[in-house]
Amino acid sequence: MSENLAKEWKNHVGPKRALKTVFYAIVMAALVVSLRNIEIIPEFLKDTPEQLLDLFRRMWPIDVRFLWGFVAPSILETIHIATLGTIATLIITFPLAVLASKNIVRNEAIRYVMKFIFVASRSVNSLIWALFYVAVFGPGPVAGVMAIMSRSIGFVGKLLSEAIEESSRNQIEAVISVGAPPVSVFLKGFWPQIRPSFLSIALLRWDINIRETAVLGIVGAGGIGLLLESAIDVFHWPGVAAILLSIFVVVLLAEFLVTNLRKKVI
Amino acid sequence: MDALTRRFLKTQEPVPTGGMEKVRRFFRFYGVQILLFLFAAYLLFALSRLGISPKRISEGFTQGKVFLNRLFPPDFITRWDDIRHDMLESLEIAIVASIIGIFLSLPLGLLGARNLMPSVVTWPVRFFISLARAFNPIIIGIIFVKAVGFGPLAGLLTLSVASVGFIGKLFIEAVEEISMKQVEAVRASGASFLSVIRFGVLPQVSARFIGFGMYQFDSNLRNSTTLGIVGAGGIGGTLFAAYQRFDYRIVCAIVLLIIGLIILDEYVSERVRRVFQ
Amino acid sequence: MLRDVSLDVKPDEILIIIGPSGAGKSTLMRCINHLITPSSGHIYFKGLDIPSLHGDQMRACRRRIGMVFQEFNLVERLTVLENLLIGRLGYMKPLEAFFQRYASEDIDAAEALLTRLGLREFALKRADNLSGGQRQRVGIGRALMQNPELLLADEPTSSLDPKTSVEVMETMAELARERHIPVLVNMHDVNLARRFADRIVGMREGRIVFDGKKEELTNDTLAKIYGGDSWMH
Repeated sequence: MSENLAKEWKNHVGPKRALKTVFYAIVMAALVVSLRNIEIIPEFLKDTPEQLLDLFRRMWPIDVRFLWGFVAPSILETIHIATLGTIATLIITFPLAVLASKNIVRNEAIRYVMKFIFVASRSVNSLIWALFYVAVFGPGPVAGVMAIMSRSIGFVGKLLSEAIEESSRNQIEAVISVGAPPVSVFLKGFWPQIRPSFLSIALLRWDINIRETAVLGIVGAGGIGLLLESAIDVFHWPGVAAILLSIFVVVLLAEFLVTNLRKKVI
Repeated sequence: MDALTRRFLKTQEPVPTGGMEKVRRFFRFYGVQILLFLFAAYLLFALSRLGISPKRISEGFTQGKVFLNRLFPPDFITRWDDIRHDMLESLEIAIVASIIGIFLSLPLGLLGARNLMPSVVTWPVRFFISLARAFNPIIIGIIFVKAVGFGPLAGLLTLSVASVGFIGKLFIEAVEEISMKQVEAVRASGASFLSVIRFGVLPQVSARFIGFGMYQFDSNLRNSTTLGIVGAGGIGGTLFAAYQRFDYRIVCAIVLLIIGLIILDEYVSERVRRVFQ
Repeated sequence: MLRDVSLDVKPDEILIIIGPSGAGKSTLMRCINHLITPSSGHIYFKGLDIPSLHGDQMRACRRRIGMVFQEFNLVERLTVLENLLIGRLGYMKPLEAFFQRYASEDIDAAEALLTRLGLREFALKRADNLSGGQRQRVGIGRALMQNPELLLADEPTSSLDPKTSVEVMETMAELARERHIPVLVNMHDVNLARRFADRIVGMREGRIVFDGKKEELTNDTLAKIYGGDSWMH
């Protein structure tokens, strides 16, 4: 490498490398400060493995009758809430995402409003949304569906608008040029391009939502969370184990389903 | 095969012989319509099962307006010391848990990769990681709270486990996607196993590691703010306490702070990602 | 920007517009089917003033004008057959399009056209599986499915290699002449223009600087259109 090129390379890479070092330094510092600040009682920390083992021992054997009688309908309710929440999200977010896309809407103000809605939605955990909706709608699945929807709008909106921005205007222009009415332009020019991403995002969010719905019941928003909380409160550990098992199975099945469907859609 | 294709290939359409063929024809022809119908049916079914009716929703909206009034203006002052302490705690839990997660995921990720290890090793590792991922951190949090008591320790353990679950899976996928040719080359030079890992595997995946870490930090930050609701430390506890006391103005203040923190975090994450691009 | 452009297209002729980049050829073309709105002036097509049309009337006018694009502009994820049938969308209601209720005559016409274009075997393949030349032929097919009264082609060969360019132009010219459809093309390949045009129009900086038969296109006139003559030798 000639001297000039070496110098140029250093100038090019140098600042980046410096930034990376700074980043690592900050992370180290943060780690040290945090460790010192967190109030952890060392004895408790040492006790942890033993405590966990004790807990797991109490969970065995799993209460099968409990599983059938109480857990199954609860889990189904959880699935319904997650599914409805996802569907509602998709319907509401589609137009919003369109409005947030650079290549469709020129007005920056509108786009910023949409982006803000998405960020706000994402920043609030679904559990907190659930708290809000339980206070408004009262305990029950309505609050759960609304909470899921509120959280998912941000996630779906961001990914969907990114996918829309990647679509090609050329293909749409061609359909316009044949004199097709706007709905047909959407159906045959725009939608075929968006469809794979849309379905992929929808499936992904559905999977995540099932996991999230499982806990919403803890604050009263329906689903299996309530059952879990009750079982724990009365120390019915075999029942808790049954619930955890069912959640595990459902999540695994959903993930399997979603992974395979997403492959087909791309 | 959709309707259009069938009509186009009209000369090659198989003549339905048995009853099964007729059924299959029916489904192929009306496929999309049937799907839409099932979809609508499910919607109505699930809505009724959950007791969601338009009346309830409109009732909710009026209630909502009343409720919103009780939220504003947000009260930052009354419990400021608690709030400040707990927010910091949430942040710290997220930081430490993320780092623990990254460091533990490294060996676990390697052990779980099917192109490096035999099934005997990968199966239990993958199973454990699935377990860690399947459960919402809240649930894991409940378990740890019951095991080690209230406080930030439970939160830390919870998010560490969750982090290992997520980063571990991403890492395993990354390792399974590497080009084995490079690994072979290093192996052929006679290097020890550890060296093969270091020079053949790691260079191909280390770049993505930072990305995984940042992604998990984002997630951990969001979760650590709510884990307090089940007693695992952080601002969630303060939030829930205020909620149950009907101190909604404080609840509002805390929620706003959480939103602010996450927005800040997203911004920082984005810049960091660009540096490492 | 176009300045004082005045042009008459005669029925049954192939008119090719040439000129340097930025001369306004593409702008002119896009004004004709109202993909761009001119700030002033009139464009008459079978008695209708195009810039004044909006909404349904404009779409009814558009479907009578077929357009072939430089980058083919096929809907990549749809099959070749569906891309051809897009040409009929101007004549169909959206609901029909959604349920793919294309008229049998349309499907038959598409099949015949595919055979004519030598693409029958690709009918059910996704559009992005085809080569550039094949894709452009599908583009031509789509435009022809509209049964247009005018064919526009905006740099139809600029993305193709020389041999394919000739093949595509031959296809387009042949099919247009068979159906007595006038063709308005713009391109920057002068030799290709000379080979296929009945009439050539030269544009430069938004104005028409030449309009005549291809025999009249001498080196001098070319210099007037493109400026300078060093590129001609």
